[in-house]
Amino acid sequence: MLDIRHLTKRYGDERAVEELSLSVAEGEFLTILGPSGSGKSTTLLAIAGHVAATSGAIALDGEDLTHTPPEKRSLGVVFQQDALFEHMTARENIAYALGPHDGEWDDEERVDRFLSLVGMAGHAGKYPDQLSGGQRRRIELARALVYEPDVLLLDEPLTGLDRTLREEMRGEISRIHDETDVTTVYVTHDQTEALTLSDRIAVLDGGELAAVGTPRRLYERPPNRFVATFLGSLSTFPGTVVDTDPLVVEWAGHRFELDGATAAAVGDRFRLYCRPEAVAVGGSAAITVDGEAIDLTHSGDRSTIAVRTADGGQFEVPVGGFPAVEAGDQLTLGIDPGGVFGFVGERRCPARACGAVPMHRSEP
Amino acid sequence: MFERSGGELVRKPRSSTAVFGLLSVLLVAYLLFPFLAFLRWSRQASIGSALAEPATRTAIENSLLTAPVATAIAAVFGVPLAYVLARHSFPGKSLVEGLVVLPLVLPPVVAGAMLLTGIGRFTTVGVFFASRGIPLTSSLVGVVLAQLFVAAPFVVITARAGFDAVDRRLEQASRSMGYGPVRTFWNVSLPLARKAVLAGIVLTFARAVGEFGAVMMVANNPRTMPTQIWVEFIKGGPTATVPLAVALLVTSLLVIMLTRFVGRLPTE
Repeated sequence: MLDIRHLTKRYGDERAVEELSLSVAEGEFLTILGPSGSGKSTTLLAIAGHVAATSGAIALDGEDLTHTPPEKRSLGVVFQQDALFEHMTARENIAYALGPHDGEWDDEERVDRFLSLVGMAGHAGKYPDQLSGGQRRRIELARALVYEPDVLLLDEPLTGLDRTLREEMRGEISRIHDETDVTTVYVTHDQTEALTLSDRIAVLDGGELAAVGTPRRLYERPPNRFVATFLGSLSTFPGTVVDTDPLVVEWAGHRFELDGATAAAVGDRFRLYCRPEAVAVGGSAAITVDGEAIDLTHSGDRSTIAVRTADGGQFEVPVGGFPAVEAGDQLTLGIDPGGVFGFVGERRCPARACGAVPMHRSEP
Repeated sequence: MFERSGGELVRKPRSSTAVFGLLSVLLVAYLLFPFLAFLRWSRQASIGSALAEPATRTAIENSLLTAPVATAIAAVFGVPLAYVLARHSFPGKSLVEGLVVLPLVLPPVVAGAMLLTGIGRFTTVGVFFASRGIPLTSSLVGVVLAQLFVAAPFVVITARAGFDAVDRRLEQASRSMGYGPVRTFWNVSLPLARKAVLAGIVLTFARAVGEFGAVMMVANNPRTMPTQIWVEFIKGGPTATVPLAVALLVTSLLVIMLTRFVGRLPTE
């Protein structure tokens, strides 16, 4: 439905977005995820028409929009910071958005319907400065949706809200998307938002597309190191190359085989990784290793123990509640071999060409 | 001395209030002093009968005609210019920005002299308009031109600051809703920059209605309040200036108060 083709935006010599190609399907919730400065907001503003692309094209339903002014694009936009009109009430803000569309400033019924959709039916007459941060966001959502745009664009809409409100609004955005089924492009630097909300995630790194895929695929089988580290914490441990064709890496008495060509030679160090959920305290798993607890992080319902092994492996071990562990304690960790992976080649390699290689435990 | 408030160190207000209060009082006193001294003179002048004189009345009428016209022209051309300066970059922009401030720097007499060299009676432009029955000097048109030249910068500079303060996102939001750039300007940018724009218009009017030097050079006749005040001063000294000066002050105050009242009205 929405197609971005080879989008490039430079500010002088500075590259904001480079050769970005991305398609969004009808009704899809696509998140553009990346650290600050990765070009995600620029991409969104280019889709909206507020930033002119240096090169490349943007098309909606096959119609080229690259040189169409913003007002002719039929997009709803919610901006990173508040963009409510302070000189209009909540109702007027929403009604204003109807003005150019059916010329129906006075379609009270429709405004009411969208006020209800965002749970703000009782606040129609208030001015923005009488609303809380979360309420303002709701009105902005209603305003961006009331004229039933083809695509809804959200630029870090939860920035500046406190943690509880972020979680609440995350649920609301998800619910509103389910109810309206509007094609949505959501920009954020928050991996939790991306993982919980999205049908698909596009990860940007330095203006380039680092990966695109479903949250599950990107989390479980990240195509490169950047995506892997950005989408969650990683445990890492140093293996040694024992064979190169195919690549076989040995660590803690176990051998792992990886697909793909590498320049590594026998005897080289080769890092292996796993997600926290592949590691647990206790020796019941297929692979066990001893280590020392070096740090504990409590976050209420769960805690994370940072463990270092003698060979330099670093593990993030999730446990429930507050464990009776102190820094300096010796622990035995169990590692699920199915969750171990490595990276072959450069981190920027395209997803299909090199990707995260699923690991097969070789016979010892 | 220091209190923690919202995670930031905030000074208790007492001592700073005293300093700010003292500084404010000193300036207000200095501004007030000439007015009081002047009003002492006014007791000796018979304002009513002086204002009834035809020459005085004509000067008041001329000022009340020319200053609003000059202000309106300055606003119609100056507000869009202010918006363009606030929103766009183009080659030679800093030159334009400098040019807009320049009339403020010039002594009004020099501004008048420059206008004369441009549109004076014997210049090409002056001859062209005079031959078509529109003399650009020694006429009400001349008065307006002189007022416009010295006063227009105020509305441009002030309105520009106002537009600078309007978040671009608000305009982008309006555009994305389907409003074109002109409707976005009218519906969003202008209402939000309303206070600054009105302040600029008030300053422009104040400067236009009170302008003496440039008007004197370009159109000593017909008289406006400031030029007539000069004539009265030559004839009768400071006392003679009182009736017209009071009229000028009252006019300006009324306009300023009226504009502030309008500025507070809701836009709908």
